[in-house]
Amino acid sequence: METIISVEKLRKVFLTKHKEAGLAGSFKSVFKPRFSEYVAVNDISFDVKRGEILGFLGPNGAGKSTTIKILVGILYPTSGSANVLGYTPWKQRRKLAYRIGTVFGQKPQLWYHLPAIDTFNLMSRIYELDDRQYRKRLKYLVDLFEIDYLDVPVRRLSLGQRMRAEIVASLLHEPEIILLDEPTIGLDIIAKQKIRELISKLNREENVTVFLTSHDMDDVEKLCNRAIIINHGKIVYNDTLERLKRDYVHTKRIEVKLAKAPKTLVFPGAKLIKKDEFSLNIELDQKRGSVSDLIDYLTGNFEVADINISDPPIEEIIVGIYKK
Amino acid sequence: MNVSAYAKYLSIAKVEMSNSFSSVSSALIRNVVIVVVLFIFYNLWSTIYGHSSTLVISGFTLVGILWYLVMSESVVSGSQGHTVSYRLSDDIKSGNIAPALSKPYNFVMYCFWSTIGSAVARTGIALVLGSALIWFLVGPPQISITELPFVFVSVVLALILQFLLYFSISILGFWFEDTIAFKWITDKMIFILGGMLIPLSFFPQWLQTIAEILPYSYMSYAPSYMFVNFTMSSFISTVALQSAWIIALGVIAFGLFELGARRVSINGG
Repeated sequence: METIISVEKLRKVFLTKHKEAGLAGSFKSVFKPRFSEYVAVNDISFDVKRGEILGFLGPNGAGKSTTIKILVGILYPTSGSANVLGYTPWKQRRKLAYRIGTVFGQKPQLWYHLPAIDTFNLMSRIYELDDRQYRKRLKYLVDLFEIDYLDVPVRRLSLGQRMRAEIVASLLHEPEIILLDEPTIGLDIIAKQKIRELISKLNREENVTVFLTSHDMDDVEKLCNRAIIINHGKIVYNDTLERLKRDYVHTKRIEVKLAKAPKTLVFPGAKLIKKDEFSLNIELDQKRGSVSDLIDYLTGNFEVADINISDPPIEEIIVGIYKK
Repeated sequence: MNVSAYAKYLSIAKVEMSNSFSSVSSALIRNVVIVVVLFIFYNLWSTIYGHSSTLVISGFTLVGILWYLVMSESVVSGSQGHTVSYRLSDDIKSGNIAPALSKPYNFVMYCFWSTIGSAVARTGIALVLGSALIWFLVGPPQISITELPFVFVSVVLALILQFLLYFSISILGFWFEDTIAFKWITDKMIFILGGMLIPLSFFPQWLQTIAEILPYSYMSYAPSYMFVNFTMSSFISTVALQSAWIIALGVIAFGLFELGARRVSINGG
Protein backbone atom coordinates (compact mmCIF):
# COMPACT_ATOMS: atom_id res chain seq x y z
CA MET A 1 0.00 0.00 0.00
CA GLU A 2 1.05 3.53 -0.80
CA THR A 3 2.62 5.55 2.01
CA ILE A 4 0.93 8.96 2.21
CA ILE A 5 2.30 10.37 5.43
CA SER A 6 5.90 9.90 6.35
CA VAL A 7 7.62 11.54 9.26
CA GLU A 8 11.36 11.41 9.88
CA LYS A 9 13.04 12.50 13.14
CA LEU A 10 10.49 15.24 13.74
CA ARG A 11 11.29 17.51 16.64
CA LYS A 12 9.55 20.53 18.12
CA VAL A 13 10.97 22.55 20.97
CA PHE A 14 8.99 25.31 22.67
CA LEU A 15 10.40 28.01 24.90
CA THR A 16 8.54 28.41 28.15
CA LYS A 17 8.83 31.49 30.29
CA HIS A 18 9.35 31.07 34.00
CA LYS A 19 8.41 33.42 36.77
CA GLU A 20 9.28 33.23 40.44
CA ALA A 21 6.47 33.59 42.93
CA GLY A 22 5.30 36.93 44.25
CA LEU A 23 5.64 40.56 43.24
CA ALA A 24 9.44 40.52 43.30
CA GLY A 25 9.34 37.54 40.96
CA SER A 26 7.07 39.44 38.58
CA PHE A 27 9.46 42.38 38.48
CA LYS A 28 12.42 40.12 37.94
CA SER A 29 10.72 38.35 35.03
CA VAL A 30 10.07 41.70 33.31
CA PHE A 31 13.72 42.73 33.33
CA LYS A 32 15.43 39.39 33.28
CA PRO A 33 13.07 36.80 31.82
CA ARG A 34 14.10 33.22 32.31
CA PHE A 35 13.23 30.66 29.65
CA SER A 36 13.53 26.95 29.54
CA GLU A 37 13.20 24.58 26.62
CA TYR A 38 10.32 22.21 26.46
CA VAL A 39 10.63 19.34 24.01
CA ALA A 40 7.05 18.66 22.86
CA VAL A 41 7.97 16.25 20.08
CA ASN A 42 11.26 14.41 20.40
CA ASP A 43 12.67 12.98 17.14
CA ILE A 44 9.70 10.85 16.16
CA SER A 45 9.47 8.84 12.93
CA PHE A 46 6.50 6.95 11.51
CA ASP A 47 4.56 6.22 8.30
CA VAL A 48 0.87 6.09 7.45
CA LYS A 49 -0.50 4.08 4.52
CA ARG A 50 -3.46 5.03 2.37
CA GLY A 51 -6.75 3.77 3.77
CA GLU A 52 -5.44 3.18 7.27
CA ILE A 53 -7.17 4.27 10.46
CA LEU A 54 -4.33 5.22 12.74
CA GLY A 55 -4.82 6.03 16.39
CA PHE A 56 -2.32 8.48 17.84
CA LEU A 57 -2.59 8.03 21.57
CA GLY A 58 -1.06 9.60 24.59
CA PRO A 59 -1.82 11.39 27.83
CA ASN A 60 -2.38 15.14 27.88
CA GLY A 61 0.75 17.05 26.96
CA ALA A 62 2.39 14.07 25.25
CA GLY A 63 2.82 15.89 21.93
CA LYS A 64 -0.23 14.63 19.99
CA SER A 65 -1.66 18.02 19.05
CA THR A 66 1.78 19.39 18.26
CA THR A 67 2.36 16.53 15.82
CA ILE A 68 -1.02 16.98 14.15
CA LYS A 69 -0.46 20.72 13.80
CA ILE A 70 2.90 20.11 12.14
CA LEU A 71 1.30 17.60 9.75
CA VAL A 72 -1.38 20.14 8.81
CA GLY A 73 1.26 22.79 8.26
CA ILE A 74 0.26 25.34 10.88
CA LEU A 75 3.27 24.67 13.06
CA TYR A 76 6.92 24.75 12.04
CA PRO A 77 9.05 21.93 13.44
CA THR A 78 12.41 22.68 15.05
CA SER A 79 14.05 19.95 12.99
CA GLY A 80 13.26 16.79 11.05
CA SER A 81 11.11 16.23 8.00
CA ALA A 82 7.53 15.34 7.18
CA ASN A 83 5.85 14.50 3.92
CA VAL A 84 2.07 14.48 3.53
CA LEU A 85 0.71 13.54 0.08
CA GLY A 86 3.99 14.67 -1.43
CA TYR A 87 3.98 18.08 0.27
CA THR A 88 6.08 19.53 3.05
CA PRO A 89 3.18 20.78 5.18
CA TRP A 90 4.66 23.95 6.69
CA LYS A 91 6.02 25.05 3.32
CA GLN A 92 2.99 24.12 1.18
CA ARG A 93 0.16 24.56 3.66
CA ARG A 94 -2.44 25.92 1.24
CA LYS A 95 -1.86 23.33 -1.48
CA LEU A 96 -2.06 20.59 1.12
CA ALA A 97 -5.21 22.08 2.63
CA TYR A 98 -7.22 21.24 -0.50
CA ARG A 99 -6.50 17.55 -0.05
CA ILE A 100 -6.83 17.02 3.68
CA GLY A 101 -9.60 17.63 6.19
CA THR A 102 -9.06 18.67 9.78
CA VAL A 103 -11.22 18.58 12.86
CA PHE A 104 -9.97 20.04 16.12
CA GLY A 105 -12.26 18.69 18.83
CA GLN A 106 -11.92 21.65 21.13
CA LYS A 107 -11.51 24.33 18.47
CA PRO A 108 -14.71 24.73 16.46
CA GLN A 109 -14.78 25.92 12.87
CA LEU A 110 -18.57 26.36 12.68
CA TRP A 111 -19.87 29.92 13.00
CA TYR A 112 -21.43 29.97 16.45
CA HIS A 113 -24.42 32.23 15.77
CA LEU A 114 -25.22 30.90 12.30
CA PRO A 115 -26.78 27.61 11.20
CA ALA A 116 -24.36 24.90 10.04
CA ILE A 117 -25.50 25.23 6.43
CA ASP A 118 -23.95 28.74 6.29
CA THR A 119 -20.56 27.34 7.28
CA PHE A 120 -20.96 24.48 4.77
CA ASN A 121 -21.75 26.93 1.96
CA LEU A 122 -18.77 29.03 2.94
CA MET A 123 -16.52 25.96 2.90
CA SER A 124 -17.71 25.16 -0.62
CA ARG A 125 -16.41 28.60 -1.66
CA ILE A 126 -13.21 28.37 0.34
CA TYR A 127 -12.37 25.04 -1.26
CA GLU A 128 -13.58 26.34 -4.66
CA LEU A 129 -16.02 23.45 -5.19
CA ASP A 130 -18.18 23.09 -8.24
CA ASP A 131 -21.72 23.97 -7.23
CA ARG A 132 -23.45 20.86 -8.55
CA GLN A 133 -20.83 18.56 -7.12
CA TYR A 134 -21.03 20.34 -3.80
CA ARG A 135 -24.84 19.90 -3.60
CA LYS A 136 -24.44 16.19 -4.28
CA ARG A 137 -21.66 15.79 -1.75
CA LEU A 138 -23.57 17.75 0.87
CA LYS A 139 -26.64 15.58 0.46
CA TYR A 140 -24.56 12.42 0.78
CA LEU A 141 -22.81 13.61 3.95
CA VAL A 142 -25.95 15.05 5.53
CA ASP A 143 -27.66 11.68 5.08
CA LEU A 144 -24.66 9.72 6.28
CA PHE A 145 -24.15 11.85 9.39
CA GLU A 146 -27.91 12.17 9.99
CA ILE A 147 -27.84 15.94 10.14
CA ASP A 148 -31.46 17.00 10.36
CA TYR A 149 -30.62 20.34 11.95
CA LEU A 150 -29.00 22.17 9.03
CA ASP A 151 -30.80 25.47 9.65
CA VAL A 152 -30.55 25.60 13.44
CA PRO A 153 -27.99 28.09 14.82
CA VAL A 154 -24.97 26.15 16.01
CA ARG A 155 -25.20 27.59 19.52
CA ARG A 156 -28.45 25.64 20.01
CA LEU A 157 -26.99 22.23 19.08
CA SER A 158 -25.85 19.53 21.50
CA LEU A 159 -22.15 18.78 21.64
CA GLY A 160 -22.61 15.52 19.71
CA GLN A 161 -24.66 17.20 16.98
CA ARG A 162 -22.08 19.94 16.74
CA MET A 163 -19.21 17.49 16.39
CA ARG A 164 -21.02 15.64 13.58
CA ALA A 165 -21.48 18.93 11.76
CA GLU A 166 -17.82 19.81 12.38
CA ILE A 167 -16.77 16.57 10.70
CA VAL A 168 -19.11 17.16 7.74
CA ALA A 169 -17.60 20.64 7.30
CA SER A 170 -14.16 19.09 6.96
CA LEU A 171 -15.28 16.43 4.46
CA LEU A 172 -17.09 18.55 1.85
CA HIS A 173 -14.04 18.82 -0.39
CA GLU A 174 -13.52 15.04 -0.43
CA PRO A 175 -10.16 15.01 1.35
CA GLU A 176 -7.88 12.00 1.01
CA ILE A 177 -6.79 12.21 4.62
CA ILE A 178 -8.79 13.39 7.58
CA LEU A 179 -6.94 14.41 10.71
CA LEU A 180 -9.04 14.46 13.85
CA ASP A 181 -7.67 15.94 17.04
CA GLU A 182 -9.60 14.51 19.99
CA PRO A 183 -12.91 14.20 18.11
CA THR A 184 -14.76 12.50 20.96
CA ILE A 185 -13.59 14.71 23.80
CA GLY A 186 -16.37 15.75 26.15
CA LEU A 187 -19.03 13.62 24.43
CA ASP A 188 -21.25 11.15 26.25
CA ILE A 189 -20.96 7.43 25.51
CA ILE A 190 -23.78 7.30 22.93
CA ALA A 191 -22.45 10.32 21.02
CA LYS A 192 -18.92 8.90 21.11
CA GLN A 193 -20.15 5.62 19.68
CA LYS A 194 -22.01 7.43 16.92
CA ILE A 195 -18.94 9.40 15.89
CA ARG A 196 -16.83 6.25 15.84
CA GLU A 197 -19.35 4.40 13.69
CA LEU A 198 -19.46 7.26 11.22
CA ILE A 199 -15.70 7.57 10.94
CA SER A 200 -15.36 3.86 10.32
CA LYS A 201 -18.16 3.88 7.73
CA LEU A 202 -16.53 6.77 5.94
CA ASN A 203 -13.23 4.93 5.85
CA ARG A 204 -14.92 1.83 4.39
CA GLU A 205 -16.98 3.67 1.78
CA GLU A 206 -14.43 6.22 0.58
CA ASN A 207 -11.11 4.71 1.61
CA VAL A 208 -10.31 7.94 3.45
CA THR A 209 -7.17 7.69 5.54
CA VAL A 210 -7.94 8.59 9.14
CA PHE A 211 -5.37 10.00 11.52
CA LEU A 212 -6.92 10.39 14.92
CA THR A 213 -5.52 11.58 18.22
CA SER A 214 -7.10 10.62 21.48
CA HIS A 215 -6.35 9.96 25.10
CA ASP A 216 -9.25 7.51 25.21
CA MET A 217 -8.22 3.88 24.64
CA ASP A 218 -11.83 3.08 23.72
CA ASP A 219 -11.65 5.29 20.60
CA VAL A 220 -8.72 3.36 19.28
CA GLU A 221 -10.05 -0.02 20.24
CA LYS A 222 -13.34 0.51 18.41
CA LEU A 223 -11.86 2.17 15.36
CA CYS A 224 -8.22 1.75 14.53
CA ASN A 225 -6.12 -0.87 12.77
CA ARG A 226 -2.92 0.46 14.22
CA ALA A 227 -1.92 2.51 17.22
CA ILE A 228 0.99 4.78 17.92
CA ILE A 229 1.44 5.67 21.56
CA ILE A 230 3.39 8.77 22.38
CA ASN A 231 4.61 9.85 25.79
CA HIS A 232 6.77 12.87 26.66
CA GLY A 233 7.25 13.47 22.94
CA LYS A 234 8.60 10.01 22.20
CA ILE A 235 6.93 7.08 20.47
CA VAL A 236 6.70 4.20 22.90
CA TYR A 237 4.55 1.87 20.79
CA ASN A 238 3.86 1.59 17.07
CA ASP A 239 2.17 -1.60 15.96
CA THR A 240 -1.18 -3.31 15.37
CA LEU A 241 -4.00 -2.96 17.80
CA GLU A 242 -4.15 -6.76 18.26
CA ARG A 243 -0.61 -6.84 19.57
CA LEU A 244 -1.25 -3.91 21.86
CA LYS A 245 -4.26 -5.61 23.35
CA ARG A 246 -2.58 -8.99 23.59
CA ASP A 247 0.60 -7.73 25.19
CA TYR A 248 -0.39 -4.72 27.19
CA VAL A 249 -4.12 -4.27 27.59
CA HIS A 250 -5.38 -7.43 29.22
CA THR A 251 -7.16 -5.78 32.07
CA LYS A 252 -10.54 -4.08 32.31
CA ARG A 253 -11.82 -1.65 34.86
CA ILE A 254 -15.19 -2.50 36.36
CA GLU A 255 -16.90 0.07 38.47
CA VAL A 256 -19.87 -1.27 40.44
CA LYS A 257 -22.43 0.79 42.32
CA LEU A 258 -24.20 -1.17 44.98
CA ALA A 259 -27.54 -0.81 46.72
CA LYS A 260 -26.14 -2.41 49.88
CA ALA A 261 -22.74 -2.30 51.54
CA PRO A 262 -20.31 -4.71 49.81
CA LYS A 263 -19.14 -8.07 51.13
CA THR A 264 -15.68 -9.38 50.32
CA LEU A 265 -14.94 -10.07 46.67
CA VAL A 266 -13.57 -13.45 45.62
CA PHE A 267 -13.13 -13.90 41.88
CA PRO A 268 -10.14 -15.17 39.84
CA GLY A 269 -8.14 -12.31 38.33
CA ALA A 270 -10.16 -9.60 40.08
CA LYS A 271 -8.25 -7.10 42.16
CA LEU A 272 -10.01 -4.56 44.31
CA ILE A 273 -8.55 -1.11 43.65
CA LYS A 274 -10.96 0.93 45.68
CA LYS A 275 -13.84 0.13 47.94
CA ASP A 276 -16.16 2.38 49.82
CA GLU A 277 -19.60 2.13 51.35
CA PHE A 278 -21.63 1.60 48.18
CA SER A 279 -19.15 1.08 45.38
CA LEU A 280 -16.37 -1.20 44.19
CA ASN A 281 -13.62 -0.45 41.74
CA ILE A 282 -12.23 -3.64 40.27
CA GLU A 283 -9.35 -4.38 37.94
CA LEU A 284 -9.89 -7.65 36.08
CA ASP A 285 -7.06 -9.60 34.46
CA GLN A 286 -8.79 -11.01 31.41
CA LYS A 287 -6.25 -13.82 31.11
CA ARG A 288 -7.58 -15.25 34.34
CA GLY A 289 -11.27 -14.43 34.23
CA SER A 290 -13.81 -13.13 31.74
CA VAL A 291 -15.85 -9.96 32.07
CA SER A 292 -19.17 -11.76 31.56
CA ASP A 293 -18.36 -14.30 34.30
CA LEU A 294 -17.44 -11.50 36.66
CA ILE A 295 -20.73 -9.73 35.96
CA ASP A 296 -22.61 -12.97 36.62
CA TYR A 297 -20.71 -13.33 39.86
CA LEU A 298 -21.41 -9.73 40.87
CA THR A 299 -25.12 -9.81 40.11
CA GLY A 300 -25.42 -13.16 41.85
CA ASN A 301 -23.68 -12.10 45.03
CA PHE A 302 -24.33 -8.38 45.38
CA GLU A 303 -27.25 -6.01 44.98
CA VAL A 304 -25.91 -4.22 41.92
CA ALA A 305 -27.33 -0.79 41.04
CA ASP A 306 -25.01 0.10 38.16
CA ILE A 307 -22.00 -1.31 36.31
CA ASN A 308 -19.49 0.55 34.16
CA ILE A 309 -16.80 -1.29 32.20
CA SER A 310 -13.83 0.56 30.71
CA ASP A 311 -10.28 0.13 29.53
CA PRO A 312 -7.43 1.06 31.83
CA PRO A 313 -6.33 4.69 31.40
CA ILE A 314 -3.65 5.31 28.80
CA GLU A 315 -1.11 6.27 31.50
CA GLU A 316 -1.29 2.74 32.91
CA ILE A 317 -0.85 1.12 29.51
CA ILE A 318 2.27 3.24 29.03
CA VAL A 319 3.61 2.12 32.41
CA GLY A 320 3.03 -1.47 31.25
CA ILE A 321 4.97 -0.83 28.04
CA TYR A 322 7.91 0.63 29.96
CA LYS A 323 7.95 -2.35 32.31
CA LYS A 324 8.46 -4.87 29.49
CA MET B 1 -6.44 36.46 -7.97
CA ASN B 2 -8.77 34.45 -10.17
CA VAL B 3 -12.57 34.52 -10.08
CA SER B 4 -13.08 31.72 -7.58
CA ALA B 5 -10.56 33.29 -5.22
CA TYR B 6 -12.63 36.48 -5.26
CA ALA B 7 -15.79 34.47 -4.64
CA LYS B 8 -14.04 32.85 -1.69
CA TYR B 9 -13.17 36.10 0.04
CA LEU B 10 -16.51 37.72 -0.77
CA SER B 11 -18.34 34.76 0.80
CA ILE B 12 -16.25 35.18 3.92
CA ALA B 13 -17.30 38.85 4.07
CA LYS B 14 -20.93 37.86 3.54
CA VAL B 15 -20.95 35.23 6.29
CA GLU B 16 -19.29 37.64 8.69
CA MET B 17 -21.86 40.30 7.78
CA SER B 18 -24.78 37.98 8.53
CA ASN B 19 -23.06 36.91 11.73
CA SER B 20 -22.89 40.54 12.87
CA PHE B 21 -26.58 41.00 12.07
CA SER B 22 -27.47 37.81 13.94
CA SER B 23 -26.47 39.34 17.27
CA VAL B 24 -28.99 42.16 16.91
CA SER B 25 -29.12 43.03 20.59
CA SER B 26 -25.40 43.79 20.88
CA ALA B 27 -25.49 45.79 17.61
CA LEU B 28 -28.35 47.88 18.96
CA ILE B 29 -26.73 48.51 22.34
CA ARG B 30 -23.52 49.62 20.67
CA ASN B 31 -25.40 52.05 18.48
CA VAL B 32 -27.55 53.37 21.30
CA VAL B 33 -24.25 54.45 22.83
CA ILE B 34 -23.39 56.41 19.69
CA VAL B 35 -26.74 58.16 19.75
CA VAL B 36 -26.27 59.08 23.41
CA VAL B 37 -22.72 60.32 22.80
CA LEU B 38 -23.89 62.44 19.86
CA PHE B 39 -26.68 63.92 21.94
CA ILE B 40 -24.17 64.90 24.65
CA PHE B 41 -21.90 66.44 21.99
CA TYR B 42 -24.87 68.32 20.57
CA ASN B 43 -25.44 69.96 23.97
CA LEU B 44 -21.73 70.60 24.56
CA TRP B 45 -21.02 72.19 21.18
CA SER B 46 -24.29 74.20 21.21
CA THR B 47 -23.11 75.82 24.42
CA ILE B 48 -19.62 76.49 22.99
CA TYR B 49 -21.12 78.08 19.89
CA GLY B 50 -23.71 79.94 21.99
CA HIS B 51 -26.40 78.41 19.74
CA SER B 52 -25.20 80.65 16.90
CA SER B 53 -25.65 79.16 13.45
CA THR B 54 -23.26 81.57 11.73
CA LEU B 55 -20.28 81.52 14.09
CA VAL B 56 -17.24 79.72 12.60
CA ILE B 57 -14.55 78.26 14.91
CA SER B 58 -11.44 76.68 13.38
CA GLY B 59 -13.28 76.32 10.07
CA PHE B 60 -16.38 74.64 11.54
CA THR B 61 -19.92 75.91 11.99
CA LEU B 62 -22.09 74.25 14.65
CA VAL B 63 -23.91 72.21 11.99
CA GLY B 64 -20.56 71.29 10.45
CA ILE B 65 -19.00 70.03 13.64
CA LEU B 66 -22.03 67.92 14.53
CA TRP B 67 -22.07 66.21 11.14
CA TYR B 68 -18.30 65.81 11.43
CA LEU B 69 -18.87 63.91 14.69
CA VAL B 70 -21.59 61.69 13.14
CA MET B 71 -19.02 60.53 10.61
CA SER B 72 -15.98 60.31 12.91
CA GLU B 73 -17.89 58.35 15.57
CA SER B 74 -19.46 55.97 13.03
CA VAL B 75 -16.21 55.20 11.22
CA VAL B 76 -14.44 54.35 14.46
CA SER B 77 -17.07 52.90 16.78
CA GLY B 78 -18.98 51.24 13.99
CA SER B 79 -15.94 49.54 12.55
CA GLN B 80 -15.13 46.16 13.91
CA GLY B 81 -11.43 46.88 14.27
CA HIS B 82 -11.62 46.50 18.00
CA THR B 83 -13.41 43.17 18.11
CA VAL B 84 -11.14 41.59 15.52
CA SER B 85 -8.10 42.42 17.58
CA TYR B 86 -9.75 41.09 20.72
CA ARG B 87 -10.84 37.90 19.04
CA LEU B 88 -7.61 37.30 17.20
CA SER B 89 -5.40 37.84 20.25
CA ASP B 90 -7.64 35.49 22.20
CA ASP B 91 -7.53 32.95 19.39
CA ILE B 92 -3.76 33.11 19.35
CA LYS B 93 -3.64 32.67 23.13
CA SER B 94 -6.08 29.78 23.24
CA GLY B 95 -4.83 28.05 20.10
CA ASN B 96 -8.25 28.55 18.48
CA ILE B 97 -6.39 30.04 15.56
CA ALA B 98 -5.56 26.46 14.45
CA PRO B 99 -8.72 25.64 12.42
CA ALA B 100 -8.70 29.03 10.69
CA LEU B 101 -5.10 28.48 9.69
CA SER B 102 -5.69 25.03 8.24
CA LYS B 103 -7.90 26.25 5.38
CA PRO B 104 -6.74 26.99 1.84
CA TYR B 105 -6.73 30.76 1.94
CA ASN B 106 -4.38 33.53 2.80
CA PHE B 107 -4.99 34.10 6.50
CA VAL B 108 -4.42 37.86 6.39
CA MET B 109 -6.89 38.15 3.51
CA TYR B 110 -9.33 35.97 5.42
CA CYS B 111 -9.16 38.31 8.41
CA PHE B 112 -9.33 41.35 6.17
CA TRP B 113 -12.49 40.30 4.34
CA SER B 114 -14.26 39.08 7.43
CA THR B 115 -13.50 42.41 9.12
CA ILE B 116 -14.62 44.48 6.15
CA GLY B 117 -17.84 42.44 5.96
CA SER B 118 -18.88 43.32 9.46
CA ALA B 119 -17.28 46.79 9.54
CA VAL B 120 -19.29 47.99 6.54
CA ALA B 121 -22.49 46.65 8.13
CA ARG B 122 -21.78 48.21 11.52
CA THR B 123 -20.58 51.57 10.22
CA GLY B 124 -23.69 51.68 8.02
CA ILE B 125 -26.03 51.11 10.97
CA ALA B 126 -24.20 53.67 13.12
CA LEU B 127 -24.34 56.26 10.31
CA VAL B 128 -28.07 55.79 9.80
CA LEU B 129 -28.88 56.17 13.51
CA GLY B 130 -26.43 59.04 14.12
CA SER B 131 -27.58 60.90 11.01
CA ALA B 132 -31.23 60.56 12.01
CA LEU B 133 -30.54 62.20 15.36
CA ILE B 134 -28.38 65.08 14.09
CA TRP B 135 -30.67 65.74 11.11
CA PHE B 136 -33.57 66.01 13.55
CA LEU B 137 -31.62 68.39 15.82
CA VAL B 138 -29.83 70.70 13.36
CA GLY B 139 -30.93 69.82 9.82
CA PRO B 140 -29.17 68.17 6.84
CA PRO B 141 -25.40 68.11 6.16
CA GLN B 142 -23.83 70.60 3.72
CA ILE B 143 -22.83 68.11 1.07
CA SER B 144 -24.30 67.31 -2.32
CA ILE B 145 -25.34 63.79 -3.29
CA THR B 146 -22.77 63.68 -6.09
CA GLU B 147 -19.97 64.19 -3.58
CA LEU B 148 -21.08 61.34 -1.31
CA PRO B 149 -19.50 58.50 -3.35
CA PHE B 150 -16.09 60.18 -2.93
CA VAL B 151 -16.58 60.33 0.82
CA PHE B 152 -17.61 56.69 0.77
CA VAL B 153 -14.28 55.75 -0.87
CA SER B 154 -12.37 57.53 1.87
CA VAL B 155 -14.51 55.88 4.58
CA VAL B 156 -13.72 52.42 3.19
CA LEU B 157 -10.01 53.27 3.09
CA ALA B 158 -10.26 54.44 6.71
CA LEU B 159 -11.82 51.10 7.67
CA ILE B 160 -9.03 49.23 5.85
CA LEU B 161 -6.41 51.29 7.71
CA GLN B 162 -8.03 50.55 11.05
CA PHE B 163 -8.10 46.87 10.20
CA LEU B 164 -4.40 46.80 9.30
CA LEU B 165 -3.41 48.61 12.49
CA TYR B 166 -5.50 46.46 14.83
CA PHE B 167 -4.55 43.29 12.97
CA SER B 168 -0.85 44.07 13.40
CA ILE B 169 -1.41 44.62 17.10
CA SER B 170 -3.24 41.30 17.43
CA ILE B 171 -0.39 39.54 15.70
CA LEU B 172 1.86 40.84 18.47
CA GLY B 173 0.00 38.21 20.52
CA PHE B 174 2.48 35.73 19.11
CA TRP B 175 5.23 37.47 21.07
CA PHE B 176 3.47 39.13 23.99
CA GLU B 177 1.26 37.43 26.52
CA ASP B 178 -1.18 40.29 26.48
CA THR B 179 -1.88 42.82 23.72
CA ILE B 180 -4.59 44.74 25.61
CA ALA B 181 -2.14 47.53 26.50
CA PHE B 182 -1.21 48.10 22.84
CA LYS B 183 -4.85 48.06 21.89
CA TRP B 184 -5.75 50.51 24.64
CA ILE B 185 -3.07 52.97 23.52
CA THR B 186 -4.21 52.67 19.90
CA ASP B 187 -7.85 53.30 20.85
CA LYS B 188 -6.88 56.50 22.66
CA MET B 189 -4.60 57.62 19.83
CA ILE B 190 -7.51 57.33 17.40
CA PHE B 191 -9.85 59.10 19.83
CA ILE B 192 -7.51 62.08 20.23
CA LEU B 193 -4.88 62.24 17.46
CA GLY B 194 -7.23 60.55 15.00
CA GLY B 195 -9.72 63.33 15.56
CA MET B 196 -12.62 61.14 16.59
CA LEU B 197 -13.59 63.35 19.55
CA ILE B 198 -12.38 66.78 18.37
CA PRO B 199 -11.41 67.81 14.82
CA LEU B 200 -7.63 68.27 14.47
CA SER B 201 -8.10 71.89 13.35
CA PHE B 202 -9.06 72.75 16.95
CA PHE B 203 -5.59 71.66 18.14
CA PRO B 204 -2.61 74.04 18.50
CA GLN B 205 -0.59 74.12 15.30
CA TRP B 206 2.32 71.97 16.56
CA LEU B 207 -0.01 69.19 17.74
CA GLN B 208 -1.98 69.36 14.53
CA THR B 209 1.23 68.89 12.57
CA ILE B 210 2.18 65.84 14.63
CA ALA B 211 -1.30 64.38 14.27
CA GLU B 212 -1.24 64.81 10.52
CA ILE B 213 2.06 62.97 10.22
CA LEU B 214 0.73 59.97 12.15
CA PRO B 215 -1.58 57.42 10.46
CA TYR B 216 -4.39 57.80 13.02
CA SER B 217 -5.82 60.93 11.41
CA TYR B 218 -6.49 59.00 8.20
CA MET B 219 -8.68 56.57 10.11
CA SER B 220 -11.25 59.09 11.27
CA TYR B 221 -10.38 62.78 10.78
CA ALA B 222 -9.69 62.72 7.06
CA PRO B 223 -12.97 61.21 5.78
CA SER B 224 -15.02 63.12 8.36
CA TYR B 225 -13.44 66.46 7.45
CA MET B 226 -14.05 65.70 3.79
CA PHE B 227 -17.68 64.97 4.62
CA VAL B 228 -18.26 68.53 5.90
CA ASN B 229 -15.74 70.48 3.76
CA PHE B 230 -15.65 68.63 0.47
CA THR B 231 -13.24 69.74 -2.27
CA MET B 232 -11.93 67.63 -5.11
CA SER B 233 -8.31 68.53 -4.32
CA SER B 234 -8.65 67.47 -0.68
CA PHE B 235 -10.25 64.22 -1.86
CA ILE B 236 -7.28 63.45 -4.09
CA SER B 237 -4.64 64.25 -1.49
CA THR B 238 -6.52 62.42 1.29
CA VAL B 239 -7.00 59.27 -0.77
CA ALA B 240 -3.36 59.35 -1.89
CA LEU B 241 -2.14 59.58 1.70
CA GLN B 242 -4.60 56.95 2.89
CA SER B 243 -3.37 54.62 0.15
CA ALA B 244 0.25 55.25 1.08
CA TRP B 245 -0.48 54.36 4.71
CA ILE B 246 -2.40 51.27 3.61
CA ILE B 247 0.65 50.06 1.69
CA ALA B 248 2.97 50.79 4.62
CA LEU B 249 0.77 49.18 7.27
CA GLY B 250 -0.08 46.36 4.87
CA VAL B 251 3.60 45.46 4.51
CA ILE B 252 3.93 45.53 8.32
CA ALA B 253 0.80 43.38 8.82
CA PHE B 254 1.81 40.73 6.29
CA GLY B 255 5.41 40.75 7.52
CA LEU B 256 4.45 40.38 11.17
CA PHE B 257 2.08 37.58 10.28
CA GLU B 258 4.73 35.67 8.33
CA LEU B 259 7.09 35.93 11.31
CA GLY B 260 4.34 35.18 13.83
CA ALA B 261 3.02 32.13 12.00
CA ARG B 262 6.29 30.37 12.75
CA ARG B 263 5.43 30.73 16.40
CA VAL B 264 1.85 29.46 16.19
CA SER B 265 0.59 27.44 19.08
CA ILE B 266 3.32 28.49 21.43
CA ASN B 267 0.28 28.44 23.70
CA GLY B 268 -1.71 25.24 24.03
CA GLY B 269 0.54 23.03 21.85
